[in-house]
Amino acid sequence: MRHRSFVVLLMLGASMSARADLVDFKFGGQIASDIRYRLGGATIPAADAEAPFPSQQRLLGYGFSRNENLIKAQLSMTIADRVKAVADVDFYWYGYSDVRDIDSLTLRERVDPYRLDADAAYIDIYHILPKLDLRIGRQIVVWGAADKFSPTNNLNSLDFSDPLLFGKSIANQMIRFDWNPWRDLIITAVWVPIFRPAQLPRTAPLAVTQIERFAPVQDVSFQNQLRRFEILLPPPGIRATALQPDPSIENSQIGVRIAGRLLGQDLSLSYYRGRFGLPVPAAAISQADGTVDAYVMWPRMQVLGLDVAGSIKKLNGLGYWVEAGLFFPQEVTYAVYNWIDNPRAPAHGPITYKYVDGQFQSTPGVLPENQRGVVIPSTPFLKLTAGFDYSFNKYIYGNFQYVHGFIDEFGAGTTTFSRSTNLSDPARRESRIGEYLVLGTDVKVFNDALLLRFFGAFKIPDIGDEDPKFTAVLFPQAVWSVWDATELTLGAFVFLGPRDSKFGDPVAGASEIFAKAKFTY
Amino acid sequence: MNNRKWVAGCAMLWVVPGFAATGPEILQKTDHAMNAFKDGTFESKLLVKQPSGESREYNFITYQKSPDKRMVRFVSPGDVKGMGVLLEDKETMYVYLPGFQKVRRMGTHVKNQSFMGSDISFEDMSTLNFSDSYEAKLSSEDTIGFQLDLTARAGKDPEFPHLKMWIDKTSFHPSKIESYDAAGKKLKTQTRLDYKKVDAEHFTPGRIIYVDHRRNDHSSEIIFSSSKFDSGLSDELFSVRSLMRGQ
Repeated sequence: MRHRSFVVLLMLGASMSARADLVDFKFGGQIASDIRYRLGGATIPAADAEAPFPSQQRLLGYGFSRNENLIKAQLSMTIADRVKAVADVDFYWYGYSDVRDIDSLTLRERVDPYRLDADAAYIDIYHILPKLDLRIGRQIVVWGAADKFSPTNNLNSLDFSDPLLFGKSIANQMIRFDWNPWRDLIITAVWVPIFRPAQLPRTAPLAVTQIERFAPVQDVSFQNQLRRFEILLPPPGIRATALQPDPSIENSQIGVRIAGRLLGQDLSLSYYRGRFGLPVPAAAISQADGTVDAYVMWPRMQVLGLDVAGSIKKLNGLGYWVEAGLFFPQEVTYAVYNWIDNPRAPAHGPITYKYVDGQFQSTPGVLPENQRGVVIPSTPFLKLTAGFDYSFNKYIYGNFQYVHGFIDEFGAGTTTFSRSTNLSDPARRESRIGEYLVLGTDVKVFNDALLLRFFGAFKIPDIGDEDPKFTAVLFPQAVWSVWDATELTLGAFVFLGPRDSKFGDPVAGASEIFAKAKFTY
Repeated sequence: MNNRKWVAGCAMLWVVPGFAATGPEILQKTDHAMNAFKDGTFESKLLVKQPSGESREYNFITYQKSPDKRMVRFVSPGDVKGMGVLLEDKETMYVYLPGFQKVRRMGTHVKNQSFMGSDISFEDMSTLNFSDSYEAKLSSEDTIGFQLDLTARAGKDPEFPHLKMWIDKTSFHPSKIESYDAAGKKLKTQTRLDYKKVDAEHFTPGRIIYVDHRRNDHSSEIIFSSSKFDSGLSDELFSVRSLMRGQ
């Protein structure tokens, strides 16, 4: 009996090793270093405030803002062209220490902090049904034809923590089906069970926690009322809390896309139902000690998308793309619980609250409607990117985009942006959806060993703006391809504009110079 | 089978005394010889000469299916590994960049760009049939081969308006192609060496050397390590969906 078991095991082992022979392993990755120096930004937190944890989050006006080292490992295993499993893991060392007490000096994770990212951990099953592929697991789904500024690309929230990436998608767990019923026609359906918010830049909390910034409500009279109140009784501090959506089925996201080719041009239509990845203010509660608890939430939205891309033969093969997203946002109101203005509002003790359909509600409902201002109206709005690119010769490549709606912009109409250092400054109203020109050019020299890359995004003032502000970001860099798979990069990321402009606002970030090294294997 | 008969028939023409082949006929036969397969898989190494005299090496696999489809997948080095280029036809080109996890439609303007800093353009890679773009004139003939002068057809806009092509009489494959601008200045030379007879119908070069005279005679070389023909590659391989899969 024992002998028979041994034979069975041997046979099983033989069959398993035979299957292993069918597996095609591919391994690769990257080792990289990234050091940056910040020039003239806001000190976060303020110099007299306690340093946050972890300490790499502390930003100096002038100081090192990044000192990262990366080991990236990518593994893919394919079995008989039917199944593919992919893992893509980034291991970062921050390059800062977190040693605020003697105990932390005994812990490696405080002496040499690190973090782990995974851009992919999924399984592809090809032809699970005829002409149908399935991808399940942690993944990034990129939709849209535009470069970086894609209004239809909403399934993955973006990582804004690194301005150099202009919003890199954060992977999320999803189930994706691709059905290819006929020629170039591909119908994709994606289900994202649990919403993952965007990662904000370290400077983002300034937008909510700075006392001199007024409430972001749309209604001018209500906003002025709040400003007067803040001037008269400035709160000693503002704490910001995020109202993360529950992991319920109602909060899951879906997307459907139909892509094909018509008259030689690529065309796709898409629909997305989910949430905007960046939070918006939802409530402020004045506590008995004068401090304010601010709440932020992620508005629901539906997006109808259309993109077209192709090549124009009559213009020497000029590449072009147009991508538009029609957004149907949930209305978000800003509830103000103020025990001085509203004696019926709870003045002391914890407020119990619930958050329903974009409205922060106390229990019981004591908030009069004149203390609820609109932050995001439910009016549909359009975001659009149109661009073209062209190779002028072997050495010079140009890319131009008109962007109606930057990656962080959301909502219809105009609003008062809270960028001033003084509450009594006149309010500056701008369209929520701005207009931008985005230019990029690559110049390759020394047999492509040196790439000089310039990128710039320039805000076009609103029509009728009586006090237009010049504001832009510039991103020049020189990439030296030292040898196979080895790159050294020097560059700068420069924010231009006064404080009350889009890119001059300290919330947007501060200028940096950087040096990077990368080896890819 | 039909291909084989066609090749045999054409071959007969060359041995008939007194038969004078015309330029267009020779070019058509060359096109046919170069594409005398339904599909092909080529494993190659690209060596790009550096000013120091050393070469950078790129390894890639090219899948080709008649008439115009071509898929190139990069195997190494690491910075290009996983990258894919799909040429569906002369006007439709896609690139997959694994770092962006996105397939991007490319304007045909990129055809004049160099391929990985080499002396090969995307146009060089996508040209599978010369008769479509050029009119041919027989310039000379000897015991070894023919020399053709090719001029861009009206309404066609290839990268080079004029070519000189040397064609081997045995294989009907080009052994050398010189590319000229409209003023007659030589811009590039392509030399195809070490032809091997893969089977009864197929010849394949062992190496192709590209010299770009605009870049101080900078050179690049493709070395073919293996060639496989008519293995039944499916149309699905030459699709955006396949490009995105990365396999």
